[in-house]
Amino acid sequence: MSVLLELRGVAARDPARLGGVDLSLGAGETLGLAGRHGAGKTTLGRLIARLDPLGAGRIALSGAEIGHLAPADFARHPLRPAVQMVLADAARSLPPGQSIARTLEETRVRLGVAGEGAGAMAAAGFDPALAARRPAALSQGQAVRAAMARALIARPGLLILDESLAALDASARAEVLLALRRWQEETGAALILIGHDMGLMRLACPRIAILEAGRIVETGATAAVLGAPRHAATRALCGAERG
Amino acid sequence: MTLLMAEAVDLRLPGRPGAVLDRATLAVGAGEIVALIGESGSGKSLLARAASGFLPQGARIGGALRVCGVAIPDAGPARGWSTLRGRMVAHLFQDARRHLHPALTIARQIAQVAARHGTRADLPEAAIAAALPGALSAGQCQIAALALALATPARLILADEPTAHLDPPAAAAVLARLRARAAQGAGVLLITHDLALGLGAADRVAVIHAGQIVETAPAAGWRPRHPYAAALMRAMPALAPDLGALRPVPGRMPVPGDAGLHACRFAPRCPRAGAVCGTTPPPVRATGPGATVACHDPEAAG
Repeated sequence: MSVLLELRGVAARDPARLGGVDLSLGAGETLGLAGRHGAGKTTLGRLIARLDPLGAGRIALSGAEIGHLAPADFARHPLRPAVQMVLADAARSLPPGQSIARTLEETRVRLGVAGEGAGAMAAAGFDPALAARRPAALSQGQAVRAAMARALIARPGLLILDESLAALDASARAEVLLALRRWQEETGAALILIGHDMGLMRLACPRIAILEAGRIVETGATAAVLGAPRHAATRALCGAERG
Repeated sequence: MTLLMAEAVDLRLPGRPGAVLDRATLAVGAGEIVALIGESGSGKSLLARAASGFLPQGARIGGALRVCGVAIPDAGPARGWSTLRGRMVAHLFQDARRHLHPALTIARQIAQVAARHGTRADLPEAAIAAALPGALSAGQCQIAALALALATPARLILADEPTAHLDPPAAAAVLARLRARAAQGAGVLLITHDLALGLGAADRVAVIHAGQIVETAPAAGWRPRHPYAAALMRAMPALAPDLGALRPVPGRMPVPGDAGLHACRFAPRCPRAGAVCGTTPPPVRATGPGATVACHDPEAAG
């Protein structure tokens, strides 16, 4: 498995929020990023997606250093389509004044990628019959899938989902998980799932990293980490799993 | 004592040709947590709203609905609600922030509620108590709304996805507080789309599909008999041994309230459905102590 993403000593501008993160991810791999509220999961996801400036460290994507790029510069970088993040508030991340179909087409043109929206909608489990609607006319679950379709239209090598599946019903979650798995098998793309649903992590992510107070405190094979948690944060996440 | 009693409740909303709740029967007794489990749009929140009077103008309730022994009349701006809300029933809304007073700190709101009811209130952590709702996260607002509800003497707590925005430790704390309140004699209706959460937190579960309650059962050792409940079980990531075993529920849930629905609204999605399912309402059978299934052809007992 070739290395897709390599993080060394990555820190946010405020190193108390996130610091000293080393992480590597292989092509096609699925990694779970779990932690309590405020642990730094979203901060790390946004740094990897180059949405926020780095405080320190290096980020290499497919061997190319991108950590030094300001978010505005990365937005015009040839590697920009290769890493996509779906934000937790998916509905509000979509342009409110236009249809999903138009948003998908604009994204495709802006990123200069070939193809059309149908494949991305299918991979995200988004019902094409709803593509003419604006975000406000979609349920929360459909808005999440629309945001995922927008991310997938870029044909990313790495997709980061920030709590995206938490907004979905159990059945819809199963549907989207299976659609994502098919998409990964077809494209060889890697996936980072941010969340705290440990049942979902166990099922969908062979490897997991536990964040606590801005540091990775435990990482390894998900079954091993959750089976014998060593850090108090991991135990808190697992112990509460059954409510 | 039965704190929430719904017997064959039909709920109709203005502008909707069909019933959004169809002969819904459900009871929540003192001391128990009952999880009402269903997909988005299944009508689970509407049942709670009917019980606390937060229905849109023009809503009509048929059948019998009683809260703490008081019959709920047709919804509307009924004056009677002020004697029920807060005194007997507290409603935790999913979008908690919108139901908090925006201009008062959480501590102030809790103090007002406690003073009104002559109760002793527990404040949440200082970071939440001292803040205005606008400065809090969605999860913190849920914790604040719970504290507010628990500051009332309400015996029936309607908790709509009370842990939706919380991480596992915080969610566990919320469920523990609901459990403690139930241990003091309250009844809790826990509304969730998460079957695993419902099974872990509740004494009994009720599964709702498109406005019809299809199965009720004790949570411990539950083996679903209704094909929808069984399908929901197979769609739960937390309950599946691996990704290959995960099976989404086939098809889409019909919209409750639409015209021309099948008599059993799960029939169009159901692998076991026969002609009778489209035309004849499913009989409600008792399948054990406190267990019912509404199906013409339920799955065999496991």
